[in-house]
Amino acid sequence: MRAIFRVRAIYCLCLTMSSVLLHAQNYEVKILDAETKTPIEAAAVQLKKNKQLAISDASGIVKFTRIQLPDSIQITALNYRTVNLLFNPQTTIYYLQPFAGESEVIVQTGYQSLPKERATGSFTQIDNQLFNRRISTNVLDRLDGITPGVLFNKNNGEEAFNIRGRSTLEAGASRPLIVLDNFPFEGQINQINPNDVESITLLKDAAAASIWGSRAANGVIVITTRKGRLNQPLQISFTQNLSVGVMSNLFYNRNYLTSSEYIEAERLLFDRGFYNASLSNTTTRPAISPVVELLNQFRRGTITEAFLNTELDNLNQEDLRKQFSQHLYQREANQQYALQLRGGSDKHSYLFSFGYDDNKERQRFNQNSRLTLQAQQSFKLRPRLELTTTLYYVASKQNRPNSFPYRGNALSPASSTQLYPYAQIADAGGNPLPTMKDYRSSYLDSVEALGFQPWRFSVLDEIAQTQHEEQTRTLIARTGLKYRITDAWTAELHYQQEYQQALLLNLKLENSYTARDLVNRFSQRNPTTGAFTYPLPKGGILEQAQSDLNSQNLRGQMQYQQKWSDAHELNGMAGFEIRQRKTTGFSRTVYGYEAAYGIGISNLNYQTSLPVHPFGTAMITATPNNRTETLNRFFSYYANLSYSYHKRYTFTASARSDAANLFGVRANQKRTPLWSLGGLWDISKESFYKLSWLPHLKIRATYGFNGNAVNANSLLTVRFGTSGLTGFPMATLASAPNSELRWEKVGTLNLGVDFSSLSGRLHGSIEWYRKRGLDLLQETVLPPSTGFSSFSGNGASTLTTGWEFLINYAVVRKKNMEWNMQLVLNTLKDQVIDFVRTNSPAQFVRTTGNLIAKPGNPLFSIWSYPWAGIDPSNGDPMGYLAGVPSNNYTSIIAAAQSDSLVFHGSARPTFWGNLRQDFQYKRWGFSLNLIFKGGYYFRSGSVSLNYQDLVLGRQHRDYTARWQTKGDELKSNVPSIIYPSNVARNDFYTYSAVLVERGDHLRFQDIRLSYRLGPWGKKHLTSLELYGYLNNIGILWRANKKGIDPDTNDFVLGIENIPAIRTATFGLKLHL
Amino acid sequence: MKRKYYSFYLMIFLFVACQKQEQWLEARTNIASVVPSSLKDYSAIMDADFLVRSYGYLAILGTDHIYLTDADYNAAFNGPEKNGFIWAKDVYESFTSISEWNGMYQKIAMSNICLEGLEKLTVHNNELPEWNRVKGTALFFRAFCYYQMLQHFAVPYEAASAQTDLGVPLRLSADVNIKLGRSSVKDCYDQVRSDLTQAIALLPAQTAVKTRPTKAAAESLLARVYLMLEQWDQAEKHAAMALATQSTLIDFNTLNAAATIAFPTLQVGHAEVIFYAESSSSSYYGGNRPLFDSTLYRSYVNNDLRRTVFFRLFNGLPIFKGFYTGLATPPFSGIATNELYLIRAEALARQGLKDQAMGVLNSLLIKRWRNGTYIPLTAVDAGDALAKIITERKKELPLTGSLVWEDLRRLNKDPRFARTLRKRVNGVFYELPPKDPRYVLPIPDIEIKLSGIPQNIR
Repeated sequence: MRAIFRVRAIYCLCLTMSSVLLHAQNYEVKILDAETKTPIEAAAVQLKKNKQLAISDASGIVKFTRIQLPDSIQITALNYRTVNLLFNPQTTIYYLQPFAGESEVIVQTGYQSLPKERATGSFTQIDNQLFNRRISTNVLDRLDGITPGVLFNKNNGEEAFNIRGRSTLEAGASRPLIVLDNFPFEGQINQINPNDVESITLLKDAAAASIWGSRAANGVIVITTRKGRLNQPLQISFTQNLSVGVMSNLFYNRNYLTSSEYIEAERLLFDRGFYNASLSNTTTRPAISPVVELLNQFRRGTITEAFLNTELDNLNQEDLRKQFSQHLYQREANQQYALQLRGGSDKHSYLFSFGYDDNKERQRFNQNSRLTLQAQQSFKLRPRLELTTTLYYVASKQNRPNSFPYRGNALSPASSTQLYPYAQIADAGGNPLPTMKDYRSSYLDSVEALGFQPWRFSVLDEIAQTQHEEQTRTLIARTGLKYRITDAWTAELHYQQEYQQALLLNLKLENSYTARDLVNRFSQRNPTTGAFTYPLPKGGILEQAQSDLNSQNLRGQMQYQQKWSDAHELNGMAGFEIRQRKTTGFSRTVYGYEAAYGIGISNLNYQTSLPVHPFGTAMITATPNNRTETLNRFFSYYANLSYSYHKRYTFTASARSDAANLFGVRANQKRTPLWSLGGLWDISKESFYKLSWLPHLKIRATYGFNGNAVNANSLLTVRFGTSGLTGFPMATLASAPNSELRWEKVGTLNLGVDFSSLSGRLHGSIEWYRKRGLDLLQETVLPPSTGFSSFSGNGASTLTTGWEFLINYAVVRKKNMEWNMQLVLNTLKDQVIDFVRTNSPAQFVRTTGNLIAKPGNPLFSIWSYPWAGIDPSNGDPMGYLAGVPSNNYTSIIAAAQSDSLVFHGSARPTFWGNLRQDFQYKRWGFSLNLIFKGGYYFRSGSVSLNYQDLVLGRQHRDYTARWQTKGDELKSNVPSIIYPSNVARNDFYTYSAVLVERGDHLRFQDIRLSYRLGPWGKKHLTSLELYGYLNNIGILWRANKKGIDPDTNDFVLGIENIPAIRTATFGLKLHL
Repeated sequence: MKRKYYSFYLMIFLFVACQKQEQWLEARTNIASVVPSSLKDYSAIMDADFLVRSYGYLAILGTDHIYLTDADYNAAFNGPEKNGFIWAKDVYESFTSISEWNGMYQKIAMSNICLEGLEKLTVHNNELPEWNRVKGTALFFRAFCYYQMLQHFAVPYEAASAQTDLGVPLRLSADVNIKLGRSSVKDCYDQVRSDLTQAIALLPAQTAVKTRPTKAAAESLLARVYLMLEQWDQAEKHAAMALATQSTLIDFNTLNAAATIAFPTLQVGHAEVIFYAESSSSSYYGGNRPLFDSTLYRSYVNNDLRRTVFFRLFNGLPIFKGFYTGLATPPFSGIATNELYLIRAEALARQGLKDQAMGVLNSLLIKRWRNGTYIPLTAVDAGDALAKIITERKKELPLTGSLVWEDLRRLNKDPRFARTLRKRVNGVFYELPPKDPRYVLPIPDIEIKLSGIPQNIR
């Protein structure tokens, strides 16, 4: 070890001698970790005779000016051995040896800090520098594209991200556990300010995760915040940045028909009588689009053909996407400020931080802001007794009056439809214009003439008349006592209370459509006098909701640490943990709300069915009076043991027993024991090890079990509510009983190799894992005659295997120039092993890649109906029935078997990773990141083959390529569109092989450019970093030929369907 | 030394923790979700809205009282509604949740859970009336559901073959692991009768709301059952028993026929309703659909107030608006006094008591006609009386649950009343002759697959 250090020092010395000699009076030194060669921030560097003290910045650099030689230099840093040397002006890099022997990184498991050297398990550390590379408001966003083993699922809504795939079939149970400092964080993750984060550790295998027991099967993310340090002068750092996004590209979305195409479809449907029922409807008076009104007027002879054509020509010019971009969207702009003060004396250390984020969202008029305040202190009360306290306060606020995203249906004529593309939401001068909403305009004309409230809907007016605020406040109070009983024994007691309150205020003012509509519906007009009475009073509608989360944690543990000579080292800990998490919530609605005075009307008649306009009777929806409450309790014991022999062999073991109030059975049946064993062999410490080019080589292995506390019930439960018919309390059946219910278990085998080359230029790790999900809950289908459709039982199992490569290579390493590359490559293969229920072929073909279990298959997979082309005579899509091309869709669907379907493969990437390059030239830093995903498939969207879908919700650009005449089948794969609807025909096409694409792509994720100024000032502590950051730059290569971003798939008819917005950030980081 | 003390304290702590822990971990995770264990819980299950809602629509769409224009028929999506309307062989296509089957068994499971749970309770004397009511309610709902299922999934009752005709699986226990085959039609009806007989003994004469069955409701249902079984004396007896408790008829002269809906809602209180229940809503209801059979409409003479109370005209075409739910949709699926008068009249006529039968019928109809215009009907013989009663039954109970469908099934056995239904949709003629197998719905495929019971052949 030492030998390398010297070799390294001499090497650097030679390189840098000439340049340093020229500036004999000014010195710059860089402090690096001797093991990882990473910069050490906040190392105190003292030139004793010159009485100069400087603190290294984030890149480990310290500067001195005008110094007198000779002098001696002292470098101290937390967790490193202090260096005392004669100052040699030719030495520009100092390497510090980490404490605890030669261990390099400290792994934070949330229960303890563990030198990575002793860690047998799979941990991934994201250090401060890497974490801060990406600029974001949210902590988790910063992990995307840099973290081995983590996959962000941009295209499948079930869960935002996974660590090493998914080993449960329960969608709700698949989230990794998030730990903030010592305790699980229960609140919303966006409450944590990333600027407060020091580092992130991911725990991925059994050794690490059995520490967290029954909630750790999906991995654990430990977020460690910055701390003050003892004996450290005050450090002030200030960060500010501004991110600006480009305009949302609504034109990307292929789910669109131009006005003329849409009118064409409406015209066809009109001629076929599709609208007859609506046009002749004199009861509910459904909304009729302007074009259908015109066509109807023409049919009835009230307008001329010339007039009709002029009107239609005008409407043909409109483009809803332009209207939305102009009036309902804006450029994103995020401002972030963070100030941090930290330091410490010999008995006290502190950190105070303040953060403020102010974000303008992409939907116009919407914004959110967040304020974070933190105070952390640590006191050495006695030499052996330490007290730490933390207060963390977050207040965030979202103001979102615009609840009308592009392709959302909040402004559509009827739910589940889309606004017609020729709609005008504002005139050329930006003045709001009404669009069709719930009722036909002729009806509205007639009743408005009678004296009803205006009954038109205009989206811009509605936003102006809406106040929609959500405020969340989080308070975390944490305290801990640590007592070192003897040198070997330490006792710790920690307590945390987390409180989060979310308040929602949704006010629709008196003139909002929502309020006017309700008032009008219930208003009663005396036909003789024309006077109105209002059973539902005029005024605004105020909705308020509150939800509270209170979680309490208590943990006590004893630690033991002993070394005998240099050969044996024993570490152990044991403890207990009690946790309770309680949530409560309620909401209420006030009618007739007068915002100016804050008064509402409460003595309404909620019991009687009242006549409503335009037709029928209804009751005023009573304000809900229910209060929700959930309570989760956990009680755990745990123990951890580690033994090292000459640091060459390490053996670890952990065990944990969890109990919870989840399953209404007897407590002793709820307890679930989990354990792990691990070993580490540092081969390079063996005498026979001779590979001089690879001086470090370690082999690790762990095996053990984690749990998954799924929320299911072993007894028949009923859920209480209030009857809508009678107002009595009523109970509905919630689940079928299963007295055999157990927790899910995941057994993980992890093998790893860590290596580092002679100069440290190449270092990294390779891991292989095998996760076996056991006792997984599955919904077993019951015959309907039991009264239940399914019940939850253990019995399914899955198998996930994968490789993780993390390779760092320093391509260039010179004094003024560095070029480092990092390659992260993950592979993952998952498979359902046991699953009782046989899903029908129709079930697994009709998905967008959701989890439909089939033994032997990936958890998420894409299947399709084989495609036999288009029938040239009529444009019908053709499939195969008993091997013969056929258009008998009902039979094709009914007769489908798994071997007659096309199995494409996994719907989630089977390999992915990133290639990051960091350049440093003098004061410049430059970094860029490429992300790739591959080995998976997705279903691309297309047009519905039923005309009536086109005017409802399913428009798509493929309309232009539809089969119309013989010969079109040679040009495209889009069949003809028909009326009346044939659902089976459209289903066949939607799920046919012709619409399945490969998901592989390579994405240029981001670029970061920075420039460092300083240090300067009296004590040379001041430095300034300026940086610019470009995110979501674009796709460099994709396997599909349709130009689809596989992360923004348009198959699911969600709102927006637009790719992640490209943003540019400018910022500065000031250290004082 | 010191070290030993610490471990001692730790052990004491752990021991105490274990003691308290069991209790601490018994807490409910969700305040609103409970394992039913008290009389109040079972009563709440029996008050669930679901028990009085979602009584299928296939039987209503299958009658020829309603029809749709081709445009309206086409505008709806494929599926059970479209297929049910034209008596297609395959009704459900890929739909798996069928109100007529799954929904009924869910209601039956709720009843079974209550019946089993109630037996395990220790009941104090002062709780006994409530215990009786809840048990009677559970028995009533179970009987009501099995009765409905027999009308959908089994052939009409024939005394000669009832022992071998296939009924439905008779699930009488809450245990989901029990596998059952299809019981015979006779066994099913026996179960319904025995549940109702028990319910009559347990149910109170009055309940707080009409969604809770009363003694009269159980009597009425039993009368309906005996009508199906063609045991006329029993039908007459139970209809009379029910009418003895509640015989109110609304005088249609007191209603505002011009109102969009003339009848009051459940909450306001409909005097004729004995037991309130609703059908499922179909997308074919609402607006100006479905249209009503105009021949039948024309048979209501001008002085017959039902012409305006039951119907409104749209472009000269009649649309039914007379649901006893007091709502535009869904249709009424419960039991009302008007039906009892008709059961009683028919049962009397079937027993040859023509004058008594006409007397009962006249006491109903006089409330339906404009004041002072009604001329009491008479019959020359029992057959004439029966024919008149059947005609009036058709006119009094249109779109009431599956009653019209049930009447078609049972009356088709009698050549005097048998008729073939005809519909024309998109230029195609559809016919449903008497005793056609399509009068029996197929059982959902998933049930056949999982429990292996025999399917109905259509």
